[in-house]
This record gives sequence, C-alpha cells and structure tokens, in this order.
Amino acid sequence: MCALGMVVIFKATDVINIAQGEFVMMAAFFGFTFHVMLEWPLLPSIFAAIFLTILLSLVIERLVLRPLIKAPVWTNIIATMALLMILQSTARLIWGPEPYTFPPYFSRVPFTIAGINLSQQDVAIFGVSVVYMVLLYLFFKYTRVGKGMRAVQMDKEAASLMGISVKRMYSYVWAINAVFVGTIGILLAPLLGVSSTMGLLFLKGFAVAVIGGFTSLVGSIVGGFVVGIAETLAGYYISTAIKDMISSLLLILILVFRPTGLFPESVTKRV
Amino acid sequence: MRLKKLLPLLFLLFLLLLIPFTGNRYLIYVISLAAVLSIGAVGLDILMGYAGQICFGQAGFLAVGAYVTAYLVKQGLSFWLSLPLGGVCAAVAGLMIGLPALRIRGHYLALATMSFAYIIHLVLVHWESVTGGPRGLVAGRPTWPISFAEDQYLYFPIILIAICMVLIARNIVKSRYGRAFVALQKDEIVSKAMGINITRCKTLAFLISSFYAGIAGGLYGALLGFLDPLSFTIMDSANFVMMVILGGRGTLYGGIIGATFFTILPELLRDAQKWQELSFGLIFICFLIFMPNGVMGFVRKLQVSRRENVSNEKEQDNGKRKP
Repeated sequence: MCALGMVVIFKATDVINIAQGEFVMMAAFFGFTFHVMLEWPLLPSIFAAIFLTILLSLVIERLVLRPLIKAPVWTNIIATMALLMILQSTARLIWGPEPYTFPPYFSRVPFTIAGINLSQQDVAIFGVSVVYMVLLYLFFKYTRVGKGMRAVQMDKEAASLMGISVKRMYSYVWAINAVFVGTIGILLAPLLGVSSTMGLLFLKGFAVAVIGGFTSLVGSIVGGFVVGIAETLAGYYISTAIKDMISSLLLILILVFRPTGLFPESVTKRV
Repeated sequence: MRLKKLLPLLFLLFLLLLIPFTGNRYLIYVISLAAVLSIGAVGLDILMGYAGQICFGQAGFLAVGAYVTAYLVKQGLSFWLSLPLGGVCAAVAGLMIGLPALRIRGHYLALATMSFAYIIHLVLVHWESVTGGPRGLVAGRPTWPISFAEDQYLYFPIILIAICMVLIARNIVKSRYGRAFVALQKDEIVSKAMGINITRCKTLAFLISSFYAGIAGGLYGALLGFLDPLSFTIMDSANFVMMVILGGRGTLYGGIIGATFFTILPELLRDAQKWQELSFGLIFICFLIFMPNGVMGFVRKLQVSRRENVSNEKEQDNGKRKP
C-alpha cells in the first residue's frame, strides 16, 4: 500500500518520493498525539491525523517540489532525501528519539478461516487496502480530476493547453498520497510502534514499486507479494543475512531484464 | 592571460602546502578529508556532469576501495600497492553496475545504483571474516618511504594524489572520450548516429567514476584509521550526488567546492548537533531551488552578466554570438 501511494505520485508527477516512509511516520505521530497524548477517541483522532498529513503534504509540495517541477531527475531525488532528513529530525525534536507504543485497535486473539490463522488487525489492513485500491482505480478511471491527472502524466504541455491546471493536479496528487500514507501510518502504528526512525522501514516500498513496474497500479500489489514471499523463502532456505538483500537483488535483476517492471505499460521513446 | 588565470591557483596551492606547518591538527585533518572526498566527487562529476548518468552508489564504491585497501594492508602488502588495487576492485564493481546502466536510465538507474550501494553495505555488515562486520576494520597507514602515522605527514600524499586525480580528470574531460560523454548526455540517439560507441562510453564513465571512488576510499581509510559499515550508507552516496550538484554539475572544480563544503559544514554545526540534520536538509533544498546549477554555475552566470555589461555598446555583436 505504501508502494501504491508512491506509484500515484510517480505516475502523475514524475517524482520518486524517498521520504514516503517519513510521511507515514508523521501520520503515525499525529495519530499518537491525538489518541494517546490528548486522549481523543479513536475515530476523530484518525481523521485529524489524516487531515494534518494532507496539510503537511500540501505545504511541502508548494514550498519544495513545485519550484522543482522542471528540474532533472536527481534533483528531485535529492530534494525528497533532504525532506527525509528534515522530517525525521523534526519528529525527533518534537517527540524525542525514543519509540512509543500505540494501543491496539482490536483484540489480538487470532481467529481461523479455512485453516489460516488471522488476526483482526491483518484483516482490517487488508480490507482497507482493497477498498482504497478500488476507490483509486475508479477515481483515475471516471472522475474529472482523475482523468486530468492521467492527462498530465501523458503530456504536461498538451494537458495545460486543454485547460488543465498542472500545478493544481500536482497538489491533488500529493493530497491523495497523504491520505494513503496517513492511513498506513495509523493502521501500522500499533504493530510497529511509533518512532522517528520508523520511516526507514518503508524504503523497501521502492523495491516493491519497481518490481511491480513503477507506473502500474496492479503491478505494485503483485510486486509487494513477490518481495514478501521471496524474502521469507530466502530467509528460510539460505540465511537470514540474505533476507535483507533479496529485495535489492530482485530490484536490480528486474531492472536489467525487465526494465519497465513485471507489468510494463508500452511506452515508445521517440527522438 | 594564462598566467593571470594560473596565479590564484598557484596561490591556493601555496596556502595548501603551508597548512601542515601551522601545526593545527584539526585544520590539517579537515582539509585532508575534504581532499579525499573531492576525489570521489570529481569522479562522480565525470559520470554525472559529463556522461549524464546517475549514480547513487558512490559511497558503495568508496567502501569497496577502502575495505580492499585496508584488507590488503592488513595482509602485509605495501599501502602504495594496495591503494591502486583497491581502486581497480572498485572499478570492477563499477563495471558491474555500469552494465545494467546500458539498459536503464532516469529514475530506474538511480534506484538500481541505490540498491547496489545497499547490497554493498549489507555485505560489509554480514561478511564478518573479511570486513569485521559492524565492529569495523582497522585500516593501516603507509609506512614507506617514511612513516605516515602523523596526520601532517599523511597530508602531503593525500593532497598530491588529489591534485593529480583532478588534473587527470580534467584531461579526460577534454579528451575525445570526454567530448563523447557530453554528446551522450545531450542526445543518446544522435551521438550513436555520429559514430560514438555508446556501450563503451557508458561503461568507461562508470569505470572512471568508481575508480576515483576506490582511490578516495583507500585514502579515506588511511586518514580515519578505522572503517565501519555505517560510513558507507545510501545517505553517504546521496551526499556525493549532493556535493556534485552543490558545487556545480559538469565543472569538475565544483566537485571540490562541494566536497569542501560538505566537510566543513558539519564541523561548523557541531555545537548544534540536535539541529544539524534539520539545517542540512533545509540548506540542500534552498540550494536546489535557488542555485540549481551549483556554486560554479552561479559564478559563471555572474561572469557572463558582467561581461555583457562591459560590452554593452557592442550588444548587437554580443547577441549574435550568444544565441
């Protein structure tokens, strides 16, 4: 799901957001502040956290990424890397370096469906992911804004000639991404705990995104499964040291042999 | 005219040679470090600024050079033999990443090189029998012809090698291959049509860049005396890219400026460690937005505008020359 948000951004704005995990972290901290520190009930604090994440994304988009729209690839990557540093240290300054635990939303008692042990937490995450994906698909396919985004992705200039505000589309994209990462952050907070370095866990999102093909939404889901399964298998059969390497290795292999990912969209480069 | 251009450089060289005699150890160390990083940054600039490729793995190559050199020195080989061998090993690693670069570009290349650096980092952590794992590896210093145990003695070979490497880079850039790199960056298909062997050029650019990183790594190890995997993370690789952009892409000297900046800035911010990362990030972003062509690009722009002011009367003529 983290990969999904990244794909949305990349698809529409051509920016690889390295700080994705940091947005997740900020969302988790917002949720933590409202729910645990201020002792708000669960639902309002979730909405407040997502709202704040959207706000944060929009501010960052306006201040940092919009001036860099026409910049070359590495500039954007470095800019999001700098964002990573900024967000991480800001979180550390505000909430301190130590990790916090987040109260679970559901009971931890697992239940069994057709021989598979599941916890309510897993089901909730899975369910929310599916709902989001379906919504996203419908959004891109049918709504005005979604169509506009796809147009911007195909050709910025032509889109702006057709009366689509490229800049506004970019803001929307970041807002959508914020909804995604905000939800992820809050869903995962009880599982992972909340800390200023938790964002780094999500760097793996890249591997997932690339393996699935950066531009394909279905691909990012399949990519997630592929990486997860490959890691578990390698950890079991070879050694746990290899486990961390697998996603990187897979990434390089895929890039070399299938440069556009497992599910390429056909793109022809013209002179 | 040529002498006038050379004079400031000579003056700078003179200053550099004077520094060890001040006896200020801290200053000597900082400048040595800047010189070492400059080698890596200049190498990366050949790859990024001239050949137009992207590499987020420079710290990985630095690590290869540093560990190979340190390991060979530990086995009893002379430092001056181990250093080039470390460079060669790094270059071989560069070749490995250069090959995928033939097929991919843009964001994907950035990600591939990044994950390559990540793999190297993990190898350093897990291959304990050779690299010492997270506990690190002691890196020896050269003992021939004299013992370089003191920083102020090590300073001279470091500066000398750095200057040589920069001069070599300058010549590479001005050679046939250097021009081919620039053509490659401008338009791959056109340069192919002009008879440039793209495969060879790209691999060569990666080879050169990673060789520079390897040499820088070997010297880095000697200077610090100790290596651990944490100094070679993806963040460090990104720092190298930042050095190149900050100094000015495609200028070579920009790499030196960037590396110096990167060595001095953390030292300046040492008192405010809490704010260090935050201010780092903010400074980067400001640079990216307001000075996208780096310090050298900014200087050049100033020079151009000044020249235009001087020849204001010949504006027409000037306009013809500058399309």
